[in-house]
Amino acid sequence: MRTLTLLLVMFGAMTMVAQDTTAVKSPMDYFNLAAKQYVKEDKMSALRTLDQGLQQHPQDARLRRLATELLKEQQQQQQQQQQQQQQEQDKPEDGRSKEEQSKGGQEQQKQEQQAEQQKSEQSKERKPGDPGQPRPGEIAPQDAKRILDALDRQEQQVQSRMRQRQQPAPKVPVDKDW
Amino acid sequence: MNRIAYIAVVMLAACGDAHERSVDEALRIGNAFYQAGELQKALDAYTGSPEDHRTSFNAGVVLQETGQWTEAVERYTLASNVADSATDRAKALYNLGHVWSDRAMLADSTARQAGEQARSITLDGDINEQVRLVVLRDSLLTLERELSQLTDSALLQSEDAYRNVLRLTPTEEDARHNLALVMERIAARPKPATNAGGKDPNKDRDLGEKAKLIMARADELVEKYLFQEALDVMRQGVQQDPTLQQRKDYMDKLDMITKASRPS
Repeated sequence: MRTLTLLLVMFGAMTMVAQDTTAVKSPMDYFNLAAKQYVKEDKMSALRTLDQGLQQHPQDARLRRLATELLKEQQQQQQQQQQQQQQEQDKPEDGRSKEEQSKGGQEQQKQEQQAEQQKSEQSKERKPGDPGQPRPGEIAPQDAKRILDALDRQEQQVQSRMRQRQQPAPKVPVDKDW
Repeated sequence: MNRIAYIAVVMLAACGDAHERSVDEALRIGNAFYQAGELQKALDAYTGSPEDHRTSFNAGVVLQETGQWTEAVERYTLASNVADSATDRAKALYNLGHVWSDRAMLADSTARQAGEQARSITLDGDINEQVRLVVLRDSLLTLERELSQLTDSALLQSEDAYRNVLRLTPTEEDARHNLALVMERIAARPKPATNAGGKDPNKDRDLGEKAKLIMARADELVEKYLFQEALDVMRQGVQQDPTLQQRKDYMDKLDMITKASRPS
């Protein structure tokens, strides 16, 4: 019985969670949220909210009106920014005419491109992994020690044999047969 | 007592020997797979070995070749940290510099693409479509900004790695050359634009005390989505404290919202 109650409680909780996540907001919810974001100076967030709202409620007049107003304002701001940028660009910096500047700019750009091309050709950046490719056939230190020990032993044997060979042969008295 | 010490020494030696053997075996198997072009198997062999700068380095090489740069960075960093000689540390750092350089190049080219895409968007269609396009353009521009920051950061990391190579091996000419290239790229980077938008925290600075209270009240009402009430409070407030005129923009916004919210 207790298990059944627990299961029912869990099922109820899961249903509530599912309802919460699938709950569709009303157009007014989207409108209010977008409007608040706009007033709090986050126009892009407002537009994102409106985008979500319009996907859910494409024909809602309030959402569309607010979106229209926000876009209009944004376009005006962009135009103002562009005009400012244009004015800054038009300011003569070194007394040269605009044409000269643009011609000079083009030449400079061309030169920069050429220099960049040369530079990339000269680039010595190694290919990935070049400096440390896995080293096949590498001898482990202990293996090397074993081999050296063995060589050492062989050497000792050879040397002892050599010493044996170098030992003066026993003198054999030779009886002259005159 | 002497016997215990002897046993401990022997055991330690045996352990060390076992560790070395495992690493050597991993290197042998991994290298064989690497030579055969079976990079995943090579990687499995290297990463399956006990911690060692050689297997970490080789794993880094494979990860770099397969485009897994984040993991390659981790492996090279580990290799440079545990390497027992300056030469091996320098090798790992050199490749680290290379990975960061590659990452910077990829981030830069992707940022350019995102920016070009964003600027090619023209607002066509009905208002719903236009809003969607504006949001898309903003997302692309945000991506461009973030990737641009990533490029800057990756170039600095690359520069740092090459500098460290040169500290360890001052005669490493390739590292010197690559460092110069990276520094040129850093110098050629556009300066990040200052954030002209966003809320000005000093906006309410010149408001009178009364006006500040009225603003706070209007803000509370906006939080509750009571836009008309907030506008009324502001309009009445202007008569009480003329400094509130400085926030005409706030009132204009509220005015626009209340007009848009009226049923058609």
